[in-house]
Amino acid sequence: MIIRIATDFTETPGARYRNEGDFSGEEFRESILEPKFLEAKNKGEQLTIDLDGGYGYPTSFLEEAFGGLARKHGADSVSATLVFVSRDEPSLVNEIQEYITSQK
Amino acid sequence: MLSKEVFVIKRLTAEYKLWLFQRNKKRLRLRTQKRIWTRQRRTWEIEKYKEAKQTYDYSEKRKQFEFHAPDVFSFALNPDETNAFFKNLISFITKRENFGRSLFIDISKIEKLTIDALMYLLAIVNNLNGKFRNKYSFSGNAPNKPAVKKMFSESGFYHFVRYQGTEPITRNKDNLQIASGEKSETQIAKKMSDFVCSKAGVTRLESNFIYIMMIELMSNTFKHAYASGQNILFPRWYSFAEYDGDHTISFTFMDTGEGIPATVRKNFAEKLDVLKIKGDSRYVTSALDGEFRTATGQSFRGKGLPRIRRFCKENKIQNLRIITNGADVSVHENSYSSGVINNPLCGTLYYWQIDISKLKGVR
Repeated sequence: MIIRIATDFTETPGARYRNEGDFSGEEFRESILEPKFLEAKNKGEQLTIDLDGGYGYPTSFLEEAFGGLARKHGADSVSATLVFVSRDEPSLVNEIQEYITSQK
Repeated sequence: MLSKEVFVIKRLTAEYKLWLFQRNKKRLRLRTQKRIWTRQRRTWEIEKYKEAKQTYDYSEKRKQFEFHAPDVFSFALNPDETNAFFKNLISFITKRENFGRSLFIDISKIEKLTIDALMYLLAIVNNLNGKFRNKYSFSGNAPNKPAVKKMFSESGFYHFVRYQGTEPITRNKDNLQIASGEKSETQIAKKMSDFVCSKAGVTRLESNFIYIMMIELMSNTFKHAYASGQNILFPRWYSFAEYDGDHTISFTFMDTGEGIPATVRKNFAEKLDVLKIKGDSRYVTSALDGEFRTATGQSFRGKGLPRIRRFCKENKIQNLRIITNGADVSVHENSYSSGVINNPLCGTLYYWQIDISKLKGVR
């Protein structure tokens, strides 16, 4: 299973919460990430998140989407299920993993 | 039938003719009298206002509503005088006894102008909150000096106000006119990123830090700048970008909120420091350094400013300067320098530049 953020959600990610504007991290988590995460988890598969192709990822977007998912479903479960791909900006992967593991 | 007979009889009698004559005479007298009274009242009013006009000191009265911008109208170049000008204006607006008056903003004599001061002026003219909105009418003029006037016209200021006379809006392909919003406007951040790509000839990936920075700043405005709700202005931010035609793109971002020092999380000792002996700059530098300053009290938040600090360290942006409340902080690659502003700014101004030559290959 794979989520390509730039094509499946938006090229222009926004801030943290829905009330802060369009394409927020919360919106992404609730509408796309969480349902796919649960589906992948139930099937015992891995969910690949492709981060390439966007205009850039604000910290608050990433933290709310992936850190928020870890807060809800547990950091270990999220780390075990999600796989990140970023050919454009490889440092993003470490940054996201920090957001997830800091919820332990 | 009976009434018709009565009417015919009455009309023909001598009594009726006498009555008619007397009635007309009376009406004429009243009309004449009324005309005389009207004429007398008009003469009296003219005399009265003539006298008032001679004794009324118009210049003194006008002075109360006229606000003259300083010669150097800029937070970046002349923060004290510019802050004093706005402080004076805000203090006038907040006084109940001034409600209903019209204010004239005179910027005709300014010699130097930067966009930050225009943004603040726009915020005051356009974004007064419900308590003060419709209580004042604003008018103003344009700078006289040709170079300043050109910059003023090209800034996009006229998109936000009504104007008289010929079309004053001009465009300059080397700048991105003033944009404004309330929330995180991804389309404006995208426009900013595309502007950098086109001027610097770099890819979207190489300029993505501008997009990220814009969203972080917009988001901070929405979250913190108006936290207490005591501000006289509606929540809004303003942004502007300008290419010098050579190798530098300058950015200005401003919100008219309460400012970073007023909204960050403070420890007990800092809360007691009401006299601000240690100054406001330390709040700004510690927020940039990622110390636990987020007003939300949630440990996973407050990461926006540290990320912007990282862009400075990575030399993606240069000459970052933050003016907020009494703090004036210049952010260098590995250090800070700070100054004190005597007339604190109610809001936060970010000013930074990017050097195009350093941009290629940056990730």
